[in-house]
Amino acid sequence: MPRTRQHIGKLGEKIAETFLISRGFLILDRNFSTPFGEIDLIAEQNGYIVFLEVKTRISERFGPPLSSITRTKQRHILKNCQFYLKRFGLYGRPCRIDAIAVSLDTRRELRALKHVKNAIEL
Amino acid sequence: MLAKVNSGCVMGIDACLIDVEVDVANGLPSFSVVGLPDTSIRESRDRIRSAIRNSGYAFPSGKITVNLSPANIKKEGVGFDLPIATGILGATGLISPDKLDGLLLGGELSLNGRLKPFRGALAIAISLGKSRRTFILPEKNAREAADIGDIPVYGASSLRKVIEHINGINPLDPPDTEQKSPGRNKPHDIPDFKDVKGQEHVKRGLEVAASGGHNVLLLGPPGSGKSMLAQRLPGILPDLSTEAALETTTIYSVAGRLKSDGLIRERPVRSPHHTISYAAMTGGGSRSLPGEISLAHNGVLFLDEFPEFRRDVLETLRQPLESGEITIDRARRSLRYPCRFILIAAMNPCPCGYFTDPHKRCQCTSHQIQRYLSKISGPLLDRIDIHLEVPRLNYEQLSTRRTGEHSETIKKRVNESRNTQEKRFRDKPGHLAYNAYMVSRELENFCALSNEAEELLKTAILELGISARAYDKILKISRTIADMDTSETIESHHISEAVGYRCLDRNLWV
Repeated sequence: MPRTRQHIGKLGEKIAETFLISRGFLILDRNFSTPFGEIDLIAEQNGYIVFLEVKTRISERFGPPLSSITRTKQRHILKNCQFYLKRFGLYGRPCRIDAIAVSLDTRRELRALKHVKNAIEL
Repeated sequence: MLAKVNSGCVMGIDACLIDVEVDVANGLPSFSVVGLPDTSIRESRDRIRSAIRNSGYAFPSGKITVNLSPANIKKEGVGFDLPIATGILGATGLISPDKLDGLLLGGELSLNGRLKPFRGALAIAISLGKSRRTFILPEKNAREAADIGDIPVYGASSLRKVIEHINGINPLDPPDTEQKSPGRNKPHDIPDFKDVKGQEHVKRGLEVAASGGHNVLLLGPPGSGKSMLAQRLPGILPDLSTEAALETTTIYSVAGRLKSDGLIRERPVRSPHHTISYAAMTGGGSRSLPGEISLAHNGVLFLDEFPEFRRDVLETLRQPLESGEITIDRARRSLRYPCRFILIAAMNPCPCGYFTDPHKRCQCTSHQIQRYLSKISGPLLDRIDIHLEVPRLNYEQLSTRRTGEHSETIKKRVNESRNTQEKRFRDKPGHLAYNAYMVSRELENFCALSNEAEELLKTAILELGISARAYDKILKISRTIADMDTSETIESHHISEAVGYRCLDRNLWV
């Protein structure tokens, strides 16, 4: 079972990445690990550094995908992003945090994708 | 980018100029407000974000810092929504910075970008009108502020209108002060003295009170018409001058109690219930709002069932009654509100109410009566010049068809005697132009007695056991009565009438 969940997550991130590339994003990093957790995707677009949190669900039985980004989770994401900016000396660059919700059906085919810009703020 | 907008913050009935500085910088998106904002300003972040988006502008993504300066003053209120939103749009380059100079903005934003009126706009406009800035306010507040005159004011209905006005795309029209139709703020129905049958001496007493600005205590059994008489006092007071109307309107604006636009042109009447707390009476509370005594500024404060008020509430009235203003000192701030009013207190002579009634027997023991009357302390009673007994009417008086004198007629006489008083105190700057506010040195100067009057006063003091403090009161009242009589010196019949208004000084009581 755990493997299935990881698999779904990986699949969602792949789909999100393809989507971003098609929209002209330049992918800088994937699954970047920090002492506080992990950043799913880091991309660059129009001079903005964009951090992305990807959420994948195969059913909405437990609510829409983005609802699982709770306040605590948001705080973790912000810490991750700050770490990244510090690590690569990118402070002062315009940046934002987006979220991507990937909904799959039971056969794991893409059903819907939602890109929320500026999803998380300090 | 940095943008600076001016706004104002209410402090008591004054206001201070606040610089709203907005910086939009790169970095992780955030929106913070610094400079001692209270919760309502902190919450404005979410309103402003939605209002900007729903007005069709882009909300900048970046690190937004808003500073309210001077940073040592605690700011409160929703009036900062508009300046902050405008500052944010200015910082994103939507407005060129020089266009924001010389403006003063204020207003609450709703989520759809519409502007809503806020508390205290008038106070801000009056205090900061001298700063020669152009005010942009919500429409309703703009009409309030336009009444002050010679301040450039614009009223806007939404954030978009404000931005377009500043950018010169779609200039706003100044509010239409000409549309001051008589329907606006029309006097509330003050009942007329002609409805009161009998009680001629009480009416006369109230006329004296209205002329000289004296405080009154009405004493009488239940159902004798104390409340009825008290409610009619505002009808015989002179009309408010524009200056006084501005003061009163400002207080109501600060308290957030302005119901219609335009100045309050009639004298306020406040009649709080006797369960009132001292903070509601004098002003205070967490936001230090004006209390009942300030809301009654330039008007009448009517306290029915006087001894039923809490003792601490009554005692707090002492200093304001003397000085005509109240200072609310709290750990964080100290505010002054004006409170010059005529106090009318009504009370029964004893707990059961029938002590002075010729037909109904009083059930109270003398001890009970003593205790009841002792609720009104000496120092407080000292500040009430006129005491009037309101007897119960008998059948003949009640059934009479004869209507009393119209309030309008009495008011004319009051106006005349006020004019006399104003002339007297004209060369005394800062003096309140009523006899009631005379200090003892002025009493010597202005209360020349005829020989006969002096003789009578001496007899009264000796025979009736009148105290020293009542002596000054009698002089003040007789000065007013003489003014109503257009008499330069105080004659003996003025003195005798004045003595009649001091029934609680005569030792006949209890």
